[in-house]
Amino acid sequence: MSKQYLTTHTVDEAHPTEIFSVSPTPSSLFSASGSSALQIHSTTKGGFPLQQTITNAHRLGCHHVCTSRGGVGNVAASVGFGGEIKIWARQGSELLPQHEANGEWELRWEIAPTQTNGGDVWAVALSADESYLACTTSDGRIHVWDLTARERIQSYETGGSGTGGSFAMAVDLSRDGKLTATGHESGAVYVFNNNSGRLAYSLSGLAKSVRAVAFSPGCKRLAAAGDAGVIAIYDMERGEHVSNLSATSSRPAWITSLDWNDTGEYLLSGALDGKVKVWDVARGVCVATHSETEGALWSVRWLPKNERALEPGMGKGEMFCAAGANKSLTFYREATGI
Amino acid sequence: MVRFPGQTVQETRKFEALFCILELAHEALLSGNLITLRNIYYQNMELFVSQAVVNVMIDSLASTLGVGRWDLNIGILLPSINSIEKIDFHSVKWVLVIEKEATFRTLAASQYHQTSKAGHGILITDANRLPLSQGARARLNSGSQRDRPTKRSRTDRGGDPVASITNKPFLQKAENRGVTSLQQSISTEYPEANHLGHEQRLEEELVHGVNENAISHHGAGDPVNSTMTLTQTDRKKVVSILNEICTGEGTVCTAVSMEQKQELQRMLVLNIKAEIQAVDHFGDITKWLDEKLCKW
Repeated sequence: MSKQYLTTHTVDEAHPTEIFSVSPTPSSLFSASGSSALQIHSTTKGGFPLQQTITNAHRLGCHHVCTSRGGVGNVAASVGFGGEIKIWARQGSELLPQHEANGEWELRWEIAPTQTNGGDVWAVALSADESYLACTTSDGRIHVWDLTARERIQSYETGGSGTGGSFAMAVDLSRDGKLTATGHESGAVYVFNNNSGRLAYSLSGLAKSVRAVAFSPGCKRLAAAGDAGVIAIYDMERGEHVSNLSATSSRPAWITSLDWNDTGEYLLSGALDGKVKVWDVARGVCVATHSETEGALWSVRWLPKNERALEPGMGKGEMFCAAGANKSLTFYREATGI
Repeated sequence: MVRFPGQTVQETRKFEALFCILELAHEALLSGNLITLRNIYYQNMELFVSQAVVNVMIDSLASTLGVGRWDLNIGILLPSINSIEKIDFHSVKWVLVIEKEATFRTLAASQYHQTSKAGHGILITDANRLPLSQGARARLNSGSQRDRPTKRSRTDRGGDPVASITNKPFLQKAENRGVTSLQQSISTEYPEANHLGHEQRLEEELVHGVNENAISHHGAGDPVNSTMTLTQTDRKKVVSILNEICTGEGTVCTAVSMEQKQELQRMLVLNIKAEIQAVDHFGDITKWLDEKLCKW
């Protein structure tokens, strides 16, 4: 059975240059592009209005912005092409950390490029409780920071003794906080146990660069994808490669982005050919494909289900957003029984 | 001193070299074309061993014959500034600066400057590799601010440059600086050069083409030899160029630097670089160039 998704809204020219990364909170969506400003659009109000622009966030442009998967949405982190990480927080969130604050976003902390010992910072991920940040580097290292204490608490190396490893292009933290996964240029996927600080699994299956890794909400599965054009699904209890999701096309495009929906049933993927796909993981099939653009898609994300009343016209179906080279934010909504 | 027949291998070679030069000069005189010192050297690098050998030999040949080098139709690519009164650029429709020597040679050998569908043009290869005198090079590549990022970007994009061709506005730069008579004569004789609209679009198109091709080829699952992943050093270089562009922003050429900035960012995100071969057609780049040059 296929699923129906409709384009519900497009914010044209949301950025002056191509959008490299988007990341949602329960009520808004961060987007980052080659320009220096971050944009925050509301995802609960009709028309997805611009809520806040953080100007001069990253002078050389920004390639990653992340919020926590499953978090309340008070913290965000972004990485600039210069290698600096900026941690953003909502005003008032220090006082009521369990609740979604209402204030504007402001800079809370900056991690300078020099604080990561060599390799340039690339991908970032925030823990579900929004208190830890994992970042990868171009020499294959992974650093974990405690955002409250503002210190580095863990570093993983993927290369041989101190030599640095393959460029770590993607990272994710499991929602239970136990695991860190990274995807590498070499095609390797590593999973670390955060409690022991050791490598838990070294996963094979993707021979080409891995550009996206994502833990399922229940932390039982890990999805990884990249230049091989297929999505590999790994079991996290045994560290086994359990299945591949692949398009029928014999020449699949590079996959740049992956995201599980809240129930863990569906995976969203975005690719360089401009196609965004929804996959039924259990059945291993693609249930929806959209290609609004021919330009590359760099980032696709489900919007977290929102308990609060949405404005009229926003619908109740599950929503996702896709963004990339065409500089626009395209929002899709599941068509429900109409 | 040259003797025939030579008594040693050395002398025989010297004789052969001299004969080769005479033949080339003869050819040049008959055809009316100028042959450059460099070109002579490249005719038989093994024989001549070095450019200096060629230069000395030609000078002594000329003085033996009691004529100037120019009388043999042998010259250098750019004569001394003082000896030029003016240059007629009226038939010139475009100027192409090509960094990659192999590409330059291919285009030059196919007489692309005369056969291009876009009309007559000038091919210039990277002055760093040409036997131009320091002064001439400095003037040609007058380091105006707008030039520096491009130049670096071309030389720094990882050893073998990603973008080896640029339609460089050196004429415009010359005009900007207005330092020497040559530059002034260029800018006044060739006012069209001041139309800046197209100056770097070709390079952008190229990098873009490379990127797009890399994407479509790779995306299509075809292994393309002309792309490879960036090394750590590449990445650091790209970031430093990006930094340079962003620092210089807000000055002259925001639109141009914007484009470059975007391509560099894209390169970092994709983590691949490509050779110029990514846009050619089985080694023939003229079709691609015709298309791009004609557009303007």
